[in-house]
Amino acid sequence: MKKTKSNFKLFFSMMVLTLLFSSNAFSANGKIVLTNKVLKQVIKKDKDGNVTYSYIEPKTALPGDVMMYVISFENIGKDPAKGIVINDPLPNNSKYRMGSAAGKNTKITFSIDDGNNFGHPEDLVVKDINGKEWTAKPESYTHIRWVYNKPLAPGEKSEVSFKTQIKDNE
Amino acid sequence: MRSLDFRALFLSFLCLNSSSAFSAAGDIISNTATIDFVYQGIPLIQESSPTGNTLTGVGNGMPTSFTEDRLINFSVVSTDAAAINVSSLQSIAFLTFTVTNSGNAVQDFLLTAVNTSPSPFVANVDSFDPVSPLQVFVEEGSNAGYLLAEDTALFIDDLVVGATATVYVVATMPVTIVGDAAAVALVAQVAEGGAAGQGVVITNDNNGFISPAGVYSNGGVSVLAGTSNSIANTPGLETVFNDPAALNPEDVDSNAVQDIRANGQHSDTGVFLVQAVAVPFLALNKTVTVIDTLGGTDPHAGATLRYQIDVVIGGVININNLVITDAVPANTTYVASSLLLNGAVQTDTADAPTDYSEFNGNDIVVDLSQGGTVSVAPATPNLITFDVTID
Repeated sequence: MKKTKSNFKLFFSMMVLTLLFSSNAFSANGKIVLTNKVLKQVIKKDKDGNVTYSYIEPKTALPGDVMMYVISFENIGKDPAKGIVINDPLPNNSKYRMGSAAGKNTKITFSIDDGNNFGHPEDLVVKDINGKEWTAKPESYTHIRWVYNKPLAPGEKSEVSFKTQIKDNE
Repeated sequence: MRSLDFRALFLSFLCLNSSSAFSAAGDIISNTATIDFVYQGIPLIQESSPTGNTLTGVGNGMPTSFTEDRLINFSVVSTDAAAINVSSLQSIAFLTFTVTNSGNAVQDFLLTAVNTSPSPFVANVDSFDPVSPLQVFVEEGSNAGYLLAEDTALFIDDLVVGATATVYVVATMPVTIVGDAAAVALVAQVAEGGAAGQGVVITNDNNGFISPAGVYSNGGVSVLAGTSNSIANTPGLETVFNDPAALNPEDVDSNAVQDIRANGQHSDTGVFLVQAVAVPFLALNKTVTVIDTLGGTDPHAGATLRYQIDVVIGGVININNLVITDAVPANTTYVASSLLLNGAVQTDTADAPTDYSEFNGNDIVVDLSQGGTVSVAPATPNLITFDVTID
């Protein structure tokens, strides 16, 4: 009986906390604008063979197309935001483009286990059925994490980005 | 220690991932980022939106998403490494092709064969067309090569992404001479897949590309040329033709002009090459075996002579009105009821339709045409035996 009661107390406190942090009244006072835009990479080659890349709103999106996601965060409050960490589960039907994750003043790590563990690409190791260890391929990445290593001052804006390729049905 | 834990987790994840679904036309590809931060000492979490989300908490963002559009991409390939040898007047000669769906949706494909030129094989100059109409059938059974009874489908139904179907162009040869060659293209036209039966033909995409008119399914389906349709980007599914252009001038579309890129069609060309002129080819191979009264092979009076006539039809065409007549040799006597055709006893009397063989007192007569009703095909067995005794 006693145990049940104490569990109920814990549950009740958690409910209050949850309401506090997720209620819309509180949410309206958000201090950061978080924007995620997706753009399609268009490759153009001129008559001299020079290649230029541009990024446009995706008019059509087909297997093999490279998409760039740009995630911007801006402090619209009066005080600095600290301890900023951006997490992004990779979009479905997409594979991460090796080396494409970017972001000033950030430490970038990746997960291949649905965001449970993060590491640098060279530390992400998988075993094959024979027990041999291999560095994980980018198509097995599930999440990207950017740790912004300084406070974001009021009015300050920064961004991180990464690219994916829409999977082919091979 | 931590590193060990890592690896165990990664390994289990790999197993999960092996069953992940293919990406497919119509899928919504979406992404939501989250930001964790501390503001005025309070830890907060916030989700992204395409236009900028300011609300904290999980569930207040909006995914950034777009639709994976439908890619129409496929190829027709002749699998004949060289011209297919045929004979003048040969029926049921066939060329073999494959059709592979390289797009991102299940599709049907309509099919037509088109006489074309030049020949893809330099040594075999295109010089004739097979007898009209050319026919096209899809491989349906387990036996390779075109089979009349087995391969009857007129279009490819529901070719899944990455799959390949085998298709035969079947033709009859006219009178030709050795060295004549006929180039024939197989054209595949994309149609809606995913439902039983032939889907609606897709004659335009959403980028202004169209298919030419055509007649498919051995004359059974006529399709008008597509109407150009360019629509602005919509959140929904759009269709994009990206089928490749023909490799060679003879690889034509349904309109008999060289196939272009992004028209919902693709083609490749094979060649019939006449190697043998069809003349009726008939051989009568007659042998005799002596069976003497003592069980030996001495042809003394009273010994039996067993005659065997093997009627061999070579070449590629049937022979009409074929009647075999053989006189019983002088100084011998026909053994009653000894006449066999392919091992089956024939009556000695003229009693068609019981059988079409007889002994008329002088000759044995075997009417392989069965009264002129049967056209005897090449390679059918026609083995006649009969016995006589030496007087």
